[in-house]
Parts: sequence; C-alpha cells; structure tokens
Amino acid sequence: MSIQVEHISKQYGSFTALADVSLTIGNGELLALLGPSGSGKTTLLRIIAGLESPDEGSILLHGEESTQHSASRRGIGFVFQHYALFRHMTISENVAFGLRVQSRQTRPSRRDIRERVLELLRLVQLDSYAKMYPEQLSGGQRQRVALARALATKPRVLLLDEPFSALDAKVRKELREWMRSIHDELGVTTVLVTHDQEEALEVADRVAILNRGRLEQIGTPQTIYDNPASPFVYNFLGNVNLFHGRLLADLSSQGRGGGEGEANQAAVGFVRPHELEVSRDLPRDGKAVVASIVRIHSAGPQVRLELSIAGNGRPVTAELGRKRFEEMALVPGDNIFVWPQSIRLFDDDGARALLLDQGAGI
Amino acid sequence: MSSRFAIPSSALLQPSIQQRVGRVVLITAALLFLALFLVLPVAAVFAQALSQGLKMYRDSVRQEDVLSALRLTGLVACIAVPLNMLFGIAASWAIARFEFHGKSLLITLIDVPLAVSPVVAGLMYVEVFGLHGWLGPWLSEHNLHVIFAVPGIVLATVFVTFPFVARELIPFMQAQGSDEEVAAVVLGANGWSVFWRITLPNIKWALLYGTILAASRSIGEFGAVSVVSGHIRGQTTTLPLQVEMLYNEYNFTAAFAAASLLTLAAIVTLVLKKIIEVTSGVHQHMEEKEVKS
Amino acid sequence: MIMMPEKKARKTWSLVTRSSPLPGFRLSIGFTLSYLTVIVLIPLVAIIQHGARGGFGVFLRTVTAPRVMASYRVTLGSAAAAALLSALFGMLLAWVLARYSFPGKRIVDAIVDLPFALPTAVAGISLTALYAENGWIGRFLEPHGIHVAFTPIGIVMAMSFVGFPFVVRSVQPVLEDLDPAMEEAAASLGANAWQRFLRVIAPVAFPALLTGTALAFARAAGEYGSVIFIAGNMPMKTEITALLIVTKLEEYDYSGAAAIAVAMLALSFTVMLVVNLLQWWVQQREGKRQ
Repeated sequence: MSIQVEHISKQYGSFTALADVSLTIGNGELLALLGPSGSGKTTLLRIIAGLESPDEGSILLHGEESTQHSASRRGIGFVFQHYALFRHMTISENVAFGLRVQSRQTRPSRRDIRERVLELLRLVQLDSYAKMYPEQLSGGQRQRVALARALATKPRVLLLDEPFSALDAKVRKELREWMRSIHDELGVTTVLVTHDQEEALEVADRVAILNRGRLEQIGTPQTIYDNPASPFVYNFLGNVNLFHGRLLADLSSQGRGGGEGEANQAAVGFVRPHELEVSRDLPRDGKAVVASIVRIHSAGPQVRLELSIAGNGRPVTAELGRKRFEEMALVPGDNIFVWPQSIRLFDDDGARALLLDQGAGI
Repeated sequence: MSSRFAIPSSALLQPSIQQRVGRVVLITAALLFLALFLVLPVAAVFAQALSQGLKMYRDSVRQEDVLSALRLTGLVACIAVPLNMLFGIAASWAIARFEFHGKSLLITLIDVPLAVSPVVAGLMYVEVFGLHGWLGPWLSEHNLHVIFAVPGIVLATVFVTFPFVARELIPFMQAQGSDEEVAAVVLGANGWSVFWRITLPNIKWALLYGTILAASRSIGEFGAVSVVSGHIRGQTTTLPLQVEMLYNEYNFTAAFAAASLLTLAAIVTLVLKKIIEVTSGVHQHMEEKEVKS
Repeated sequence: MIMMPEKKARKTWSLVTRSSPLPGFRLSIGFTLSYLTVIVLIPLVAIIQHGARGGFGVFLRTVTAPRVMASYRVTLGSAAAAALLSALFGMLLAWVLARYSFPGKRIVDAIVDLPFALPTAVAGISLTALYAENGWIGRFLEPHGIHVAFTPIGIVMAMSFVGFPFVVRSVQPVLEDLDPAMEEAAASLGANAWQRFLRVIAPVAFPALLTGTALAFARAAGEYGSVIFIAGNMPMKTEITALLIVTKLEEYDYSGAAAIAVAMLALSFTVMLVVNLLQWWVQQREGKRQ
C-alpha cells in the first residue's frame, strides 16, 4: 500500500515539530526516516499511524484520505522503541491480540488464530517461548515478539519507531538485517524511524532526512551519500572536513558540472576524509597544501591521519587504506602534501554549489 | 527523543464527542462524591463549633481541660514521633541496604499495626502492662504506672504510628540505591560519616514526609489510646478523648470546638504533604513529574 | 606459577545472604528487632495467650456467644458493604486522578488523604452531625424514611469514609504507571476504547483494586472512633465488635475481651495473608517469579 504525506505541519505550543513535510512512499518500499533528536521523524511516523493528528496537511493511505481515521482503523502495524508488550499476557496472547479484538464478522476462528500465532512465532524463531511472559525474555526477543504481534493482522503498512535503539550494538545489527529479510519476504510497505545513519543507509530502499521539522533530502542511500543536497545532510552522514575560502573564479566559466557562484564569493568546501589524497610528492598540477601529521589512528580497516595544515594550523582528517599507509611509512611529525580528490562547495548559507574534481579553489 | 509530551493517556487518539462527555461526567461524579463525603464533614465541624458565636468558641477552646488535653497530646506526639523516626531509619537501613533471611517476615511485622484494630492494640498493652498483665505485679511493686497513665498512652501511640516512617523510607531508599554510600565507604568514610553526610541528606524529604504522617496519626489516635488511658480528665485525656467526653456530656459546641483544632491540624498535614510532594518529588504521582522520553 | 590447592567451601548459615561493604547492619537490625519485639511481638503474644487461656473450648464459647456473633454480623456485614462502596468510588477517583487533568486537581488529590489525617473521633462526631435527623444531609433523607444515623447504614457510611482512600491509593499509582505505549499498541492493533479498557487496562488495575478493597475491608472491620458515634451501639443490632471489647473491659471481663480480641486478630492476619498472596500472584503472573 502506498502512503502519501501531503504538507503535514505540527506544532507543540511554540515548538515546531513538523513544517510542511510532503513525501510519497511506494507500495512495498522500505523507507527510513532519518534525523537527529527533535527532527520530527517520530512525530511524522505517529501522524502516519494515527497516534497523533497533524495541524495541517493530510495523509493518504493507498489513495484514501485517512487523516481523520483513528489508529485502530488504519490497518497499520506499529512497533515501539520499548516494545510495549502486554506484560500481563503471554507471548502468544500478545501476538494473538490484534486478531482477537477484531469484530465478529472479520475475526478468524480460534483455531485459525492459534495457527497464525504459531506461524508468526516460527517466523521470528520464538515458537518455544509461546507460553512465557515478556518479563522472561531478553530485549531482542521482546522486539521480535513485538514485530510478530504487529504483523499478525497482515497490516498494509508496517511502522517502526526506533525499534532497535534500546538494544546492544550486536543485537541491533542482527535484528536490522533480519528485519530487512522479513520485509523482502512479506513485501509490506515499511517506514522505519532511526537516528542511526548506518542503519538507515544499510537497510532502506530510500532514506528521507529530516532536520528541525523539515525534509532535507529524500533519495536512495547511494544518492544522498554521494550527492548530499545540503551541508546538514553532508555532515549528518559521516565525517567531513570543512574548508572556508573564496571562489577564485566564476565556476560556470570553468565548465564544471552544475556550477553557480561568482568570483570572490565566500564559500565552504566539504571533503570527506577518504576523498583527501596524501603524498610525499607534489601532485602533477601542483595544487596542494602542506600539512603535518599530528596523530595516526591505525587500528581498524582504514588508517586515519589527524593533520594540521601548515600556516594556519587548521585540523584536517584524512583516511587511507593500510597498504598505501605502509608504503608511505608515515610517522607523526612528517610533513606531507594534501589535496582533495573531489570537493563539494556550498556558499556560506549552505545553498548548493557544485562538484569539483581537482583541488581548485583551496 | 520522543516528540511526545505529557498528554494524559485518555487524550490520545482524538477523543470522540462520546469520550469527551464521558470524561466530564466522570470528573463531575468524582468531585460530587468528594464534596459530599469529605468536604461536608469538615465544614460541619466548623459550623457546629461556631454555631454559638466566636466568643463561645474561644472560651470552649480555652477551657482548662481542653488545654491540658492539648498539652498531653503534644507531649505524646513529641515522644512517639522521634522514637518512630529512629525506628524508621534503622529499619529502612537494614531492609533497603542489606539482603538477609527473614526480610519479608520483618516487613510483614512492620505492617501489623496497620491491619490490627486500634482497640485490640490498646488491649495488647493492657495485657502486658496492666494490673493483671505480665508486668502488672512488678510495676505495682515499684509504684510505676503505665496503663491509665501517660507512659501507656505513649506506648499505644508508638504502636499505631511506627510503620509510617519506615514505610516511606524503605521503598525510597530501595529506589535510590546504595551507590553513593558504597562510594563513600570506598573513599574511607566510617559508618556515621556515611550516614550523616550521604544518607541523611538524600532521604531528608522522605523522612520528613513519613514524620508528618506519623505525627498526624499520633495526634489523632483514638481507639488505642481510649483503651489504655482510663479517661482521667486533666491527666490522661488526649484531645481526641476530650472530644469524645464533651460529646457524651452533650456539650456539643465545646466538643466541636476541640474537634476543630484537630481538623485544622489535619488540614495543615494535608497541605504540608502536598507541598513536599510537589517540591521534592517524594511520593510523587506521575503527572507532576517531567515526562522523560 | 604457584598453584593453590583447592579449598572446599564450608557451608555455614549466616543471617546475611549477600555481603555488603556498607556498615551498620548489626546495629540497625538489632535495634529494629528489639523495637519490634517490645512493641509488637510481646504484646501480641500476651493477648493471644490470655485469650486462649482456659482452653480452646472456653475460647470458642466466648467468641461464639450470641451477642458476639451479632456483633460479627454487624461489623463484617457493614465492612463488606463499605468495602464495596469504597471500591466503587475509590476506583472512580483513582481513574479521574490518574488520567484526566482539570483545575484544582492537586487539591482534590490532597483531599483524598483526609480520612487518613483526620482523627477518627472527629470524623465520628461530624458524620453523626451530618446524618442526624436535623443534619445537613439527614434532613433530606429522613422525610423519605431513610434513616442513616444510629442504624447499620450509618455504620456503613462511617466505614466507607475511612476505607475509600485505601482503594484510591492502591489503584492510582498502577494506573499512572501504565505505559501509554501499551494502549497505543492496542489501538494500532485495532482495539477500540472499550476493548482497550477491558483487555489492557483492567487486567493490570484489577489486582490493585482487590488489594485496596481488602485493605479497606480490614480497616473498616477494626474501625472504632468513626463508627461508635453514628452507630447507636445497640447490642445485637448496631454494636460493632470493637465496641463490644471495650464494653467487656469496662465490665472487668478481661478474659472475654481478650478472647474476642484474638478473634479479631485472626481476621486481621487473614486479610494480611490475602493481600500478600494477591501480590505474589501478580508477580507470578507477570513472570517475575518462576
């Protein structure tokens, strides 16, 4: 089932939770709502669910205007951050709940309910826990039960509110992969709220980034990582080095892709650590900066160099592969040349600029 | 951070007209019940006390019997309450900070006075300290009077009020945890230091709250004290007993006048309790706490 | 590296089951136990021993004498009715306080504790004044033939007065601690408001309601001060058991008084047992104990 969010706004007193947010979620898609605390992602999810009502705007579920419908009528499944399992019911009673409260006409027979519960518990691999109470299960197990419970009524949409953030890192990773595979198997439209960008980028078909109630960007993980639309998005998705400076020349005249910007305009350049080239020799076009190595972090798959730019002492971080690092035999204190392989420029206010290939304009 | 703020649960999901009306009906019913059942009796006390004018009221209150009853009540409270505070602190230290056999039994024992009828409580002390009681002969020999004298009243009051401080402190200290105290010990503090510098400041509001409850109960205790006191005017009548005496003599105005003093004390108790609840977070109900997401 | 020979641990019984770095156990437990022994245990033993003096037969005859039995009927019957009334209004108040906000709520919340704070004698005389023939409430009821003062109904009123706060204070915290997410989960699964109440809220609140009602019952059955003024105290008709004990004392029938007191103690301890069992059952049900 598709979901259309149209011009949703929500205020709590003087605090703006959502400001004119619109997006569309396709049938069977897994969309991640990503953003920092206070960005409005949970509010948006709850509005889609019918647990909150918007001040303005509308929600359409499969083309049907649903904004006034209560949560019990929308045919959604909701998974809460802290599981919200019914602690006075057993696991199987929890999972059966959605089926038991259906009206006489649509309610399945007792046997059918039992079978469906068993089927779901098998799906989440907790069938041997059927008669236990939530208190007796671990966090990861409880969340699996919560998922089974939400899926019991075959909802048209599955909504998850930071479902893994209360769990250990390892459990989190396992559960998110497992959730993705369940999604693929069942094909149900899913919206996932998270503040963990790794989770969003790994699991989702598309990612919508929210900041302070506004939609910053929406696109596939690849798109938003490679082509962030704003400094916020850039910064939110991974580490970044900032270079403040001025455009030496009118960029459009240099024939670079999609450039705007006049000469002498103040700008900020964004470069990811792995996009910075380091070498003991000058590059061919001679455009590089000298930096000295302050610290080397060599544990892990990549080696991270903390550098300080000669002249102004600006701190900069570069990343390179181990092999390259060992070839160069770098030690703290060494002076090396640094230049960006690619750089994204934004003007001082953060509006878009363009993508450069070589280190022009540093 | 959840963007949910402190909405009363019943407000979720766009309450329908039905639900809104239902809410108003329930609130009205509750308030009506309270007004009828609680507010009216209090109002009646003052109405009756003042029914013959302010001067009569003042004179009734200033009678010697009433004053000495007041003094006795105050004396008993001043002995019983500190004793019970001591007990409360000791019991909660043992129960909240250590694991030992028989802890549940101990907690049950502490709850006994709450389940026992006050008359039975008073009789229990007569059985031990009365003329025909266990210690009766010994006490007469030494010309010591417990029953039908002040010590008996103190004992009976201690019995009915000692759970209050303990029952406030125990869950409070259990919830607080012993981390701070353990840290102090590790840093080299001895027992008393830990208690005075760490424990006491942390529990002071819960302690105060329990003390107010205990004090209020000691002032107001009737049944248990009635049995042990012998009702000797001017000597062993506390204020509640004095109220009964005046009432039984059909001296209604004076009875209600004395009762009004006790009622004022009760109101002060309620106000103090609420103030502590609101300002210090002790015993607080959810809606006054900040909602944490 | 030196290998230490394995020492077999000797099992000794110690009072403390888990050692703690904190000091003061001996002092605090010693004081607590001594206090309890002097204040609770010894008097309890004394009265039980006196009440049971003369053998079980004598005891039984005393506590089943007609007048005593009548007092049980009056006391327990009224206490049961009062407990039900308390449950009803207590539940209403707990619900309203836990889930709604309205102006003056804090004051209302404080007033609920009034029966705890008000001396029972004061409650007794003011309730009598209210429900007497010319009282503020009595004057509306008398013309319709409803007599409250000096009848069992009056006893029930007084007992309800002191009992209902127990229900409120038992149920209110449970309702307040109810996770709103649980109700939202139920709603998202399709449950309507009534279903949410019946299946999610009520099962959690019910044990607390039972506990509160049991406590209200225990308090009502033992109540003295608030009841004796409004009751009328006619033997066989409106005499409560607590008053009977006092009457026997005044007649110097110490043994009779003690025997009846022991019977009342039996009731008190039974209620305490029931309450404890209730709480154990709840924990069992929620899987906290296996």
